[in-house]
Amino acid sequence: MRRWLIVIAATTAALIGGVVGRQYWQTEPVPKIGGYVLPSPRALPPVALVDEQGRAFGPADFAGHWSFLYFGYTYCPDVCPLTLVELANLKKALAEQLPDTPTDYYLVSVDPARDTPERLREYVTYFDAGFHGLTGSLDDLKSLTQQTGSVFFIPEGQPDDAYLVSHSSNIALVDPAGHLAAVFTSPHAPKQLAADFAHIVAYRTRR
Amino acid sequence: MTIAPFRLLAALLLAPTLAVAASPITITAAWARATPPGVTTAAAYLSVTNDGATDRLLGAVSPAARQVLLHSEVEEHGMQHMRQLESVEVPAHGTVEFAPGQMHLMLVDIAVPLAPDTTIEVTLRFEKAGELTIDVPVRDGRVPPENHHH
Repeated sequence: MRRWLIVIAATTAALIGGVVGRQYWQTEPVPKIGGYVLPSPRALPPVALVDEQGRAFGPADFAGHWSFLYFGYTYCPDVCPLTLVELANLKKALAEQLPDTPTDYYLVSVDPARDTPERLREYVTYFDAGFHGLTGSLDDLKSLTQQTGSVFFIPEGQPDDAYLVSHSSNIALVDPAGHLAAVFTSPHAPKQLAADFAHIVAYRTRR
Repeated sequence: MTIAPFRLLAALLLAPTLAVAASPITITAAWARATPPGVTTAAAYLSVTNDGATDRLLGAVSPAARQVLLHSEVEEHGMQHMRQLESVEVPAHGTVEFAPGQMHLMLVDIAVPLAPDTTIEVTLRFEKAGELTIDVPVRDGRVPPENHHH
């Protein structure tokens, strides 16, 4: 009888401790950023992409560093070069502010018909020698954009060689485990992105 | 001050041949984004000021590109769309801005890459003011305007 009481008391204590601990653990709200932070990071779909060197690239290749993903295409004359310049400035800012936190930057082209790996390499390295390019099949790109809070489509009725692609202006943040951690919504200012990123890293370090 | 009479004389002499001299339309802050390697499109930006009655920008051409389109960058629910515009109204005594991330002239099929510190010729066609040809400086889009020597 006494033994049972001890077991029940211990179990109850463990349960209460667990619940309280869990609540305590959850009391820290996700940081407020220009966009949103996922309360639990989300795995990326098993897409088969190709990088700017023509190498196969999968979600596991995001592991080991934080990754900023922007979905665009090289034929885009205005908002894509604008965003890549902002990402280059973000990279410079983070190299100073968080020199020990490795980051990588990717233009994920949603125009695989025109953006070959070679084309992507020429394009992204113009903005920063360390930038990467990714692309893949339309199906894989759709699945990746859907899982990272983005979307794109190629409106019909356009000339074959001079078409435009409608695409999200979001920047997705993938954590060093290769999971989606946050989505930044436009407008994108390097200063704000750097501050938001620092908050996310600090938040994830405390958890 | 001494050149004023000559200016007047020149304006009178040239007025019949140069409609532009009397145009109420003024273009300022024009620049085009230098093309990254391998890219055959670019955006050009400018500010159109109209000191006269309401006019419309109907289109543009440039020897630097096969086609120049009037575009607006529209954002809806986080989606970025480039919308082609048939024309752009320039209100009486108003200014219309073509600026990064907003309205721009899209240069399509650029034969020779646009290099920084060169200029390209762009002819704008207005409903009332007629054609207006300007030299548009090409700028390296990676360099912030305040650091640029122009």
